[in-house]
Amino acid sequence: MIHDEPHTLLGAYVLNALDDHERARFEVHLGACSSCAAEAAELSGTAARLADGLSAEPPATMRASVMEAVRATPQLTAEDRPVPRRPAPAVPRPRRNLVTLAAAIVAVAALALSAFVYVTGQARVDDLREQVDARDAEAARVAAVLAADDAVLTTAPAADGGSISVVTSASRNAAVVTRVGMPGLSADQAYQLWRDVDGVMVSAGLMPHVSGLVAGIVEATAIGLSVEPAGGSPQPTHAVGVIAI
Amino acid sequence: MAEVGRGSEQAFAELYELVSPRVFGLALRILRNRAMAEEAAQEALLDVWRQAPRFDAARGSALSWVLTMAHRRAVDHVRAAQSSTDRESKAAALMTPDVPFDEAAETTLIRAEGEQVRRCLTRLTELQRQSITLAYYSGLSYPQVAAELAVALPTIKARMRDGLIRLRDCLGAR
Repeated sequence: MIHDEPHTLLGAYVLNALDDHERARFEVHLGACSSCAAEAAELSGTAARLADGLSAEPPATMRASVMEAVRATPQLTAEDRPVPRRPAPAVPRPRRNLVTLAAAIVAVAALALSAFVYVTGQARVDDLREQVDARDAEAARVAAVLAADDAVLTTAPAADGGSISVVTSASRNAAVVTRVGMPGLSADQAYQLWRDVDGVMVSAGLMPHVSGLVAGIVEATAIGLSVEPAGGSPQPTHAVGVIAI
Repeated sequence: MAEVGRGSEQAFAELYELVSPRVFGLALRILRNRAMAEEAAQEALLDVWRQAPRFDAARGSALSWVLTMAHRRAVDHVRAAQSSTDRESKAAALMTPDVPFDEAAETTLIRAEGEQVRRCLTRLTELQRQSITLAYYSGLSYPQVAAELAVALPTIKARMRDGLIRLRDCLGAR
């Protein structure tokens, strides 16, 4: 099926002439339209021919830096699925782990979105657009926390297995909470985030994806995660982890 | 490439020898600044390593896959330099290229290899050619191309696509 509006962006997509937002949206479209994906792959090959004849000797130091980075960087898996990360064993972590974690979070968010697209089909493009916008905004806030100069990663085991990673940034006044290897829930249950403010657990919202953002951490002394009936609870009923911040 | 996809650092080192001048040459052509081109080329080569297990030979050659990633990274740097207010040094670097345009365009070009694509570019309409080259070699977004050429957005989108199709047909199967 040809969807006229997005399809016209194919040339600009192949030439990397879209902004990140349009690009993400177009890739959602490609995921749902195999003939478009085939055309994009073919024209990408054509575009790459524009680099024919361009060649320049890279600086002599580049090889060593690339090889060093390669040794320190794990490869992605062959299938299009994010890899569950190993639980973090210790509190102080080098910054690279934050970047890896950020990549994993973004990948999972993208996957959750494409699953969403699949079920809704073509009928609700405007709703989808809002979802994309909301996800982009959330991803930007998450990225800002993870990239903050004062970001601190803390990991704690969770009561029902797996672990909870919390990256806090006082300057951003927010935390990114990620469930690592924790069990999935049945449809009538939900994960819920909490802030401990003066000894009282205040809801920070449900956590439908593996990572969630908690704002307003400056006045909080701990972050909590609990399993609640779907829709959430006013107070935590089954806490699975509390991390002092 | 299959070896690289199975995690062989040795195979990657060999791939590096083959493609790094192409990756750096493309980044230099787009960014026209050696330090930024080096940064973009390193990122692209690391992308190649990370994503190698997902490379699918049925969808195109390894070289074009590598160059696609290199182009994307170089364009990201153009965008970052344009949009950053806090990284003025980067923006300044882009505005004061340390490689003159003609040099980047001409002396890095191995004429024989680029000949076919250059000949095919001359077979496009003027608007198709300009839309494609401004986006590909200068890293402009399609609204920037539209503004540069004073042409409506839908027209630019359409010329990019039909220009690429005509280019593909001229270049023939590869």
